[in-house]
Order: sequence, then structure tokens, then C-alpha cells
Amino acid sequence: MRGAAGTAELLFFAVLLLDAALILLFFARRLARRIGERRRRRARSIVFRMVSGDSAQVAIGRRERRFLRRHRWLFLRECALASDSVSLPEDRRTPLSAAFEAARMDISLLRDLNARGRLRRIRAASYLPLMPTRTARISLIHTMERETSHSVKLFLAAALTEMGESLAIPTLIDSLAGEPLAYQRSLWGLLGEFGESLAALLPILRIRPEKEIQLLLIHFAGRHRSTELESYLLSKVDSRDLDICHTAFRALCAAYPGSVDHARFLAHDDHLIRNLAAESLGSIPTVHSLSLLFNHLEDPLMHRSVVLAATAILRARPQHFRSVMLRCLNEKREAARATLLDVLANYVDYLAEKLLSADSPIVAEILTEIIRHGHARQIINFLNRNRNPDIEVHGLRIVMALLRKDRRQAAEFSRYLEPRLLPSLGLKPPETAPAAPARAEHPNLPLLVVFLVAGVALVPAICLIASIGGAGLGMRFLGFFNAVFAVYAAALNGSYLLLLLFSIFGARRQSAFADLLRLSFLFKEQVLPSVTVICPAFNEEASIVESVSSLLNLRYPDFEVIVVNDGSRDQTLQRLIGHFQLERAEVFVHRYLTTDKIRGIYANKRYPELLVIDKANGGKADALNAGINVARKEYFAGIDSDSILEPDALLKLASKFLASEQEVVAGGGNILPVNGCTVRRGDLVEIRIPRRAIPRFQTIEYLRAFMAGRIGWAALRSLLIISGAFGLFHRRRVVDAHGYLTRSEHYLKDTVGEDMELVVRLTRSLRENGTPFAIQYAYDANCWTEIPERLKILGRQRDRWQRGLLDILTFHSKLIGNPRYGRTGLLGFPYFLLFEALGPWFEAEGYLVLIASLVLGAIGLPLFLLLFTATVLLGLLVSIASLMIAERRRDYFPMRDKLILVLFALLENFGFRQLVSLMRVRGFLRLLARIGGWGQMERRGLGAGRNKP
Amino acid sequence: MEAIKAKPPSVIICEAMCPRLNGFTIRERLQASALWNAIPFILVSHRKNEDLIRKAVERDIRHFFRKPVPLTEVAGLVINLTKRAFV
Repeated sequence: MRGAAGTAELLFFAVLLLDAALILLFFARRLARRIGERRRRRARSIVFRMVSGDSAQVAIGRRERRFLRRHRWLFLRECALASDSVSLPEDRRTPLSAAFEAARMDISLLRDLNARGRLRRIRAASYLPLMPTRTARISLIHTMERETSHSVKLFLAAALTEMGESLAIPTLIDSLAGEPLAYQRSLWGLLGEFGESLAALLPILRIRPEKEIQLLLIHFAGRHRSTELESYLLSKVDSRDLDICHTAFRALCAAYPGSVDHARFLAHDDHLIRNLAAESLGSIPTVHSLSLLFNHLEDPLMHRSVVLAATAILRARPQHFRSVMLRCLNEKREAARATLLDVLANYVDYLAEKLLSADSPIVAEILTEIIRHGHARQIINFLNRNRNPDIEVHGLRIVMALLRKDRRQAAEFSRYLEPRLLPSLGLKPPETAPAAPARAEHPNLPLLVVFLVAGVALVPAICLIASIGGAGLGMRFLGFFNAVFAVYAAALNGSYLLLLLFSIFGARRQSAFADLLRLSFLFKEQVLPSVTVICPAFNEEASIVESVSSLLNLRYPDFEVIVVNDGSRDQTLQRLIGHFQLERAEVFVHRYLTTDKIRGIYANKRYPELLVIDKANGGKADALNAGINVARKEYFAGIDSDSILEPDALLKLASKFLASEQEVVAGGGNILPVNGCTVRRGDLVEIRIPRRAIPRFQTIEYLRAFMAGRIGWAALRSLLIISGAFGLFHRRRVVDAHGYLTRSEHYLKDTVGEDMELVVRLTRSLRENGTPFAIQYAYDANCWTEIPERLKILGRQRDRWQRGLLDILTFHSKLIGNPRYGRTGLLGFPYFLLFEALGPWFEAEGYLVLIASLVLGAIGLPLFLLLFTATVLLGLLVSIASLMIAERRRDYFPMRDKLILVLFALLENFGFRQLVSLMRVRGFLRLLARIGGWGQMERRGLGAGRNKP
Repeated sequence: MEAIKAKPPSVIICEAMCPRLNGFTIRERLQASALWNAIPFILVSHRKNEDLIRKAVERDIRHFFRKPVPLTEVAGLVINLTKRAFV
């Protein structure tokens, strides 16, 4: 016992010392930052004076020169920042170059090009364009030739592009071979900047057989139009490589639509080419286009693109309606007739207006056919909206005539038609509202029971076996139990500390890299991947317009916003349509993922980046899947419509991807509570901590989870959680893994933890294929989100998290401890099982036994207090360190708030942490209760299923 | 906005990607009045693509520079525009 007390004492003092050191550091950093800020300002003012061109000011004194020499990196950074927003004429740059040479900056940068650390090589590459000497150019080209890391190569390429060094083009082109697509895409953008110089090399390049070079030229041809490039595309359309052929044809249709021989490609062997050809006809609204399309009405694989193109042509040329209608009525072939009706069904409103014209009989017949072909909903929607009594009479007469012959459609009309119209059809409104589809979670009961037994009985069983034999069984049991509990606590805290170390390292690297990124580089075409922001919305009428406006204001080079109205029962959709003056649009929707029905898509040409999808209610995961089907960009970001993204959050997150050597399939942002902040027009005006205690405790919890957790996991390359409130995913990879988990998709299963489940499934499928990949986390890409203010809501949230976690652990139980899944199987999954799923049980038991031991005197009060204080101090250490990591680059909270947070980090040990553990235990029990059929069913509703992270 | 209304400048140079009120929205507000509408409006931004240029043309924006802006060109344009305003 004496030995244990000694160890405990040692531990206690070690932790105390660390805490004290950290608090000192906490205040010292404030001072250091203030000094740094003053220096930066001074450096900036010197740079401005040097380039201002006023000769009286250019002469800088000896003291300033010394300052520049001492803080040369600061000086370089300020120069880089200035050159990022203004490009100077040659003569203004001379004093800067002279100063660099005086400080021997050029020499040290050139030496750094060969440094061991990747970050140093990147730094050298990104600063060298400030001194565009001949030596610098040549060294950059030479380094480019032998460099092996993609991220460094990318920065070398950027430097050469910025210097406009056209001699480097062949080297840059040769660097493409065998590299991942992300690198190739960035280089397409950079090489595109060379324009004519690249085009001049076409005669040599067009005979090169490498696929990478062909793709480069195809993309170049899509942006820089010329007859030579056009002929190149035409020659590539016949390529035997399908990838090349499709890309080339896409570029051809987009950039040179006039020179496509549509008749030939509409009959092409490859159905994708046929579809693309049909789709591109939609932008050439002529009779000829229509007749070409109508030759392919029966091809089932082209059905949707033909409908889309014909719809677009009719929109531009309404005078052809009559001939299309007549053709439809005279069409004998069933499939062709159905296709034409699908086209006309998009114009029910327009056709119904014509009921009052001379064409009335034809139109009536067409409308009848449209209803028969399963488009009753279009007519119903029209009748509900229509305010013209004459048209109403005509419309109802058509429906009545149809229903008299065929009663099957009656249910549809009585359910969706407005009650005021039902009596004239002789129908009654349905008595019961349609039942919401039940969730299909299909929990794995046997495995859950195993977890339960492990959680409840494992530790007591071990202790019982160990203490059998000998006298004083009870006391020995308590002693063993306490020992095991101490080992568990030590392991848990040890893993926190270890993760914290990795986090500090990871955050340092991230911020050093961010220092080297310049906007003029990030905003070059195709350097960063294009992104679709998918924003599912359910009953958000109060805030939706503001959230969407703020999303449209994101600072990002190439993005679109897709709002998915998930069957809201309020005015969400109407608010959007009203504010952005949206109209129904025809958009080709791929069916990569099976989702609930999309009712309509809305857009406005004045906001080309915005699309709104209206679909039947199916839950957040289903809404995201629908968004993925419509998305066209390389990546998509899943976000919550009630969270606030900082304007540069997406930029910060996506730019981290450039540092990766592997293909980044997913990236997560940082989540912070918005509860205490002031928000105006979807933008943060003032950042404060929440006012109530419950969310304050959670603030500390979030900071710890993200700063001391996820950065570390990402640095260990086994990050498994990306919050649903803000995550960025590679669209193609997600589609290949079958999207978010829903009952209508591949696995026919719902889950409440769809965000974590997706990351786990992505990891799993990529590991199984042996594809190298990376998942990243950006600690400074912030998303501010509402967290629960009340215990009851918090309990429900934790209940759901626990349920989601258990669901994932059982659904993917194959990964647990499986070396085939690398670190995920050996590190990430066991950690979640031990500390997150079973941990709450151990903790609850541990507390009980601890109290029993104290009462029975199995351990002394002093030892208990010592250990408890040590644990509290350790927690405090992690909390303060997390706060410091979070505020590495900028202060979020005012000093007073920070001190309050530290106080709450102490207080949380007395009640809150234990409470959260209990909530998780309760979540486990409730899940079992629900499967067993006892316990009440939770009311289904998105509101309950949509709290993050 | 308040500053512009209080004392109309001769030229406005504005970043397109501002938080809350972006360059295009500011321009739309200025177009509401003949007086402010007459002030030459120059847009600068790192992000410049076909869609945005079209948006700028629609809103009668005098010039749209991609950052880093060429100093000589911007300075020259401003001098020319202000000269015209004073004549």
C-alpha cells in the first residue's frame, strides 16, 4: 500500500508541475503574440515604404536594415502577402530584391530546395518567385525534375507558373506521369495559365501516347478554343480508352457544340456518348435538333437525356408545342409515346392555359394521357395552385372523365388534391394521414448482448476470479477492483496525453503549411477541387434564406450550393423560391444512389451557383444522398442548414488537402458552439461563450474532443469521425461506397450515426481495395453550431450518439482488432470499443466500487483524494492545452470568457462528467429495451435526429 | 455604405468576396440611386470566372480586376476616371 501511495504522490506532483507550466505558458503566449504583432506591423510598413516608389522614402535606415536581417522570414512573408494582392512593376521591385540579396535570402532559399523536411522545400518554392533570378528559375526546374513528393512538386510548379517560366513547360508536363488525379488536376489549372506557350507545343504533344498528357490537352482544349485543339478533341473522341473518349466528348460538347456531328454520336455504340450528345442538343434549340432527338425516342438508355433536351428546346421555342403534341397523339409505338408524354408532363401549367384556346381538344387528350402515364401529381399540383375558375372547370372535367373509366388514380387525387376541389370530383379526403415509413435500423442483437455482458461483467469477473481463495474475499475483491479501475483510468488519461502530443504536432504542421498558402495560388483555376455544398433543410423557414445567402458568400474558387428541402411541412421551400426568384429547372439527375422521390428542382440564372431540390421526407441521410445525385463537382460538403460556416472555412479545409501525399477522400472541420455568439445576416458578429452552465461544460468538451482528439487522430492517420455539421467528401468515392446509409440504399438500413458510419465505410472499402487514401481534419476551418441548452435535450443527444456508435461497432464488427484494416482496425476501432462503448460501464461501476471501498475502508481517504486531484489536474491540463491549440492563430473568446472556461474545466469533474457517463449507459440500455419491444418508441422526426456533431 | 452616402467618393474600389455584404450586393444598393450609380465602381478579387464577370457586367461595373492587381493599370484607370469626373 505504501508503494501505491508513493507512486500516487509522484504522479500528483508531476501533473501539478505540468499544469503550472502550462498556465504560465498560457499567459506568456499573450505577451509573445503582442510582440509578434508589433514586429509584423513594422515589417509591413517597411515593405510598403520600399515599394512606394517615392525616392525620398525608399532609403531605409541602418536600424531598419538590421531589423529586416534579424526577422527575415517575417519580412519575406510580408512581401509575399503584399505581392498577393498587388503586382508591382519591375522598377518598384528592385529595392526589395536588393534587400533580399543583402540578407542572403536567395542563397538560403536555394539551399532549402534540397532540405530534408517537405515543409521547408515547400517554403523555399513558395518564396522563390519573389526573387525571380535566372539561378532561381534554373534551380526550380532542376528540383522539379528529381522531386518525388506531389505536394512539393505542386508548389514548385506554382512557383514556375508565377514566374511565367515557359521553358519549364516540358518538365511540368513530364511530371504528370503516374501521379494521382488531384495533382494532375491542379497542374491542368497551372499549365493552362501558360496559354499560347502551351498551345505552341501542341504539334509535339499531340502524338504523345501517355494518358496523363492526353487528359491535360483535352482539358486545355476545353478552355482555350482554337481549330487545332478542336481537331485534337475530334481525334480523341474515337480513342479506344473510354475515359479519354468520354472526357474528350464532354469537352467538345461544352466548348465547340457547333462542330459536333450529332446524328453520328446519337447512334454511337457507347450509351454515355449517346446521352451526352442528346443532352448537348438541348442547348441548340432548332427544329432540326428536335427531329434528331425524336429518332431516338425508343432507346431506354437515352430516355432521360432525350426528355431533358427536348424539354429545354421546347422552353426556348414554344412554337413547336403543337407539332410535338400531334406527334405524340399519332405515335403508335408505346415507348416513344411515353417519352413524348414525359416531355410534355414538364409543361402541364403551360398546356392547361391552352385549354381555353382553339387547341382545347388536343390539349385535353394530351392531359388525359399524361395522367394515365403516372404524372397525376403534376396535374394535382397545378390544380392546387391554379386560381383561374375557367381553367379549373376544364381541368376537373378531364380528371372526372378519366376517373369514371379508371378508379385506380382516385386515391392519389383524394390524398393530394386540395379539399376544396374534391367535392366536384365526387371524392372525399382520406381519413388517416399517410403513415411515415418506419426506421429500419436492424440492430445486431447478439453482438449488443456480448457488448453488454463485456461492459457489465468483464471487470467484476476478473476481480472475482483473482480474489477467490484466502480470507476476506470482499475486501480483496474491492482492492482488485480499484486496481483495475486505476489501470483503466491511467490508460484512458495516458491515451488522452498521447493524443494531445500528436495534436500539438499536427496543429503546428497545419499552421506552418497554412502560412505558405497564398490566395492568388489557391484561386487559380483547378488548383483546389471544385465543391458542391449540400445543405439539407427540414422545417427551417425562419433561417433558411439567411443561411443560404451566407453559403453563397463563401470564399472559394469553384463551388455550388444545393439546398435539399427534405419534405418540410412549413414554408421552407416557398421562402427560398420567393427570395431567390427561383423557377423550376430541368436538371439531369443521375441515379447513382437510390433515394426517396425528387419532386422538383429549382434554380435562377442570376444565382448560377444555387440549386434547390424539393423531395419527399426521408431523413437527413436520404436528403444528402439526393444532393449527391444532383451534385456535379469533384467533392461535396455535407453541412447542417442551421449551422454557420465561417466564410473561409471551406477554403481552409480544402487547402489542407494540398499537403497530402495520398488522395484525400474526406476532411472534417472544427465545430464550435454558437450559443453565446451574436449572429447577423448569417454571419458571426461577436464570439462569446454560452451563458448557461450546461452548454459551457459542453464547450470545454468540444474543444477537448476536437483539439486534443481529432487533430491527433488525423495526425495518426486513423480519424474515424467527421461531424455531420461540416465535412468534405470525395463524391466519386462516396458513390462507390454506396453513399450515406439509408433504408433505400444498398444496405437497406438506417442509422442515427450516419456521419461517422460513412467515414468508417469509406475507410473500410478503400482498405479492402488496397487504395491509398487520407482523411484529414482542419483545426481552423470553423463551423458554429447550436448545442443543447437543457439537460433533457442533451440526454437525448447523447442517447443518440451512443446508439449510433454501437450501431457502427456492431455493423462493422469485422474491423475490430483486424490487422487487415491497418491502424483503423488495430487502433481506432479498439479505442472506440474500449473507451467509448464499454468505458461508460467501467466508469459507472468504478464510481460505485470506489464509494463502497471508502465506506468500508478498503482504501484510505488521503490516497483517494490524492488520486482524484491528480485526475482532475490531468483533465485540466488537457482542457487548457486544447484551448491553446484552438487559439493558436487567433483569439476566439475574450480573456474573461477564457478564464470562465478554465473554471468550468475544473467544475465539470464534480458531476457533469459522471452525468454524461450515465447518459451513455442509459443510451445503451434504452437501445436494448427498444429492440426487446418494451420501452416506448421514440417519436420519429427529423428534429430529434438532427443534432450534431 | 454609410461612408459612401455621407461623402460620395470619386471612385469606388471594392473586393468582391466580403463577408456579410459582397461587392455585387453593394453595387446593387448603389444602383438604386442615380447619384451613387454614377460613381465609377471597380471590383477586385482573387476569384474571377465567367459567371462572375457576367454578374459584374449585368450590374454595370466599370472594371473587374483579378488579384494580384497590376498596380500601374489600376492607378492609371483611377487617374483617368477621376480626371473625367472633374472636367
